[in-house]
Amino acid sequence: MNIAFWNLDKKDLSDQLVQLTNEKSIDILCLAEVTDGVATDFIRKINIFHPKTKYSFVASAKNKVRIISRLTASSFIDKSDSYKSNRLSAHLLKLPNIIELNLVCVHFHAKNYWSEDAQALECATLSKAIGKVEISSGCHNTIVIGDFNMNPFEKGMVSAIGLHAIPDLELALSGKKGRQIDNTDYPYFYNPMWNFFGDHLMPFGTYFYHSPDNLSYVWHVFDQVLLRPNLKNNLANDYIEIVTKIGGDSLVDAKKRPDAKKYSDHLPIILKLKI
Amino acid sequence: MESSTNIWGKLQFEDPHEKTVADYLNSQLNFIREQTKDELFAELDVSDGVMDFEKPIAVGLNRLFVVAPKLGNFRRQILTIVEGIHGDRYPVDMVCHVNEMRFNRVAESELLLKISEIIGSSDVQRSIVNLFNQSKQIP
Repeated sequence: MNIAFWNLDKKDLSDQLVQLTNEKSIDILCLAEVTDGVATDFIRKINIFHPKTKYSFVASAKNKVRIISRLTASSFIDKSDSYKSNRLSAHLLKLPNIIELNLVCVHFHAKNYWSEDAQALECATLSKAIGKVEISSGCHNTIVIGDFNMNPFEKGMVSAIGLHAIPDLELALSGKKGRQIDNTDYPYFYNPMWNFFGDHLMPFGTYFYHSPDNLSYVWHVFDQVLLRPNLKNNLANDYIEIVTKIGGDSLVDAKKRPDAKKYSDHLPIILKLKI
Repeated sequence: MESSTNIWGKLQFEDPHEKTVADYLNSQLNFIREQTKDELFAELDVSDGVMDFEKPIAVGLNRLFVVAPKLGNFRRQILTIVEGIHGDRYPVDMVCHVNEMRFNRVAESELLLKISEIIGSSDVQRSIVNLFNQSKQIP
């Protein structure tokens, strides 16, 4: 099962979405910065290719991230009310006899308006909301996917009281309840996105911003997937992909940066589950 | 060039060549529905793609899935057949997603035989039967 996330930067990329969905066999598509018109247009176009199992919106009380899926609508149980902000959509996905998992989609506050510290503090609330989803659904197979507007190494992503997402799957698996700090248990997320830093492999991140001030990371991995470690056995080979090409079209420019003029300033990411 | 010149040339609408992979697979899709009494059906996704070799090659991708409607439309990918990878439509390459079976340079005359070999392999058969049994448990 393939789950994709893409921040569309408010562009009309419905044709590219059709190509992405077909080429990568996407079952669930999570979209940020997408207009209703573009999302509807995409559904109309993709269903020409899928007359039997039609794609449709997944109903949610929150719509900052729109979710579209070819799985039956009744498979998704909305849990979005666990977080008051519009920035989180959460569902218990129940495929009977196949798998149950919580799918949490996030479009977190941008750095233009929120400092790193402010983001980190809000991550404590976000983490609690995810915990509420898990209690309410009775399921701890949780996937969080989205545009976090933070890099994997930032405080909000790593701190125990925040998302507690670490780059070591074996360590994340080692403690059943996660890490205990001062008699409180903090469950881990595994964050595979740490693997995508540096210029060893293309692309060098999911977002490019070269700040003019003293501190610039140049490339960022804002678009991320976090997984509870018990999903380890469900990870397919090469289970994360940052997409740079759709069909014959390159989503990056000659400098290998996201081509924000033609497409989006973010690159799509795909999580591939083996079920 | 004058405006009355036909820029389209003489288009050949009849394909004198062979059937596409999708033609062959589409003719097979209904059999699993009949055999499983609608518990499962087969779905074919056809799309174009680009293979990145030294020189990118435009290819046709044919992906065959088995879908279980009662399991929330969950689908299992069985195989992918790549057209155009060796220049013409045929020969094709095919890869199974349930096990490691892979055939390269399959001629049109061998296509259905090789597909049958993949689908008839014990891993694929077991995978389809499991899906069927899981579906049957749902009222």
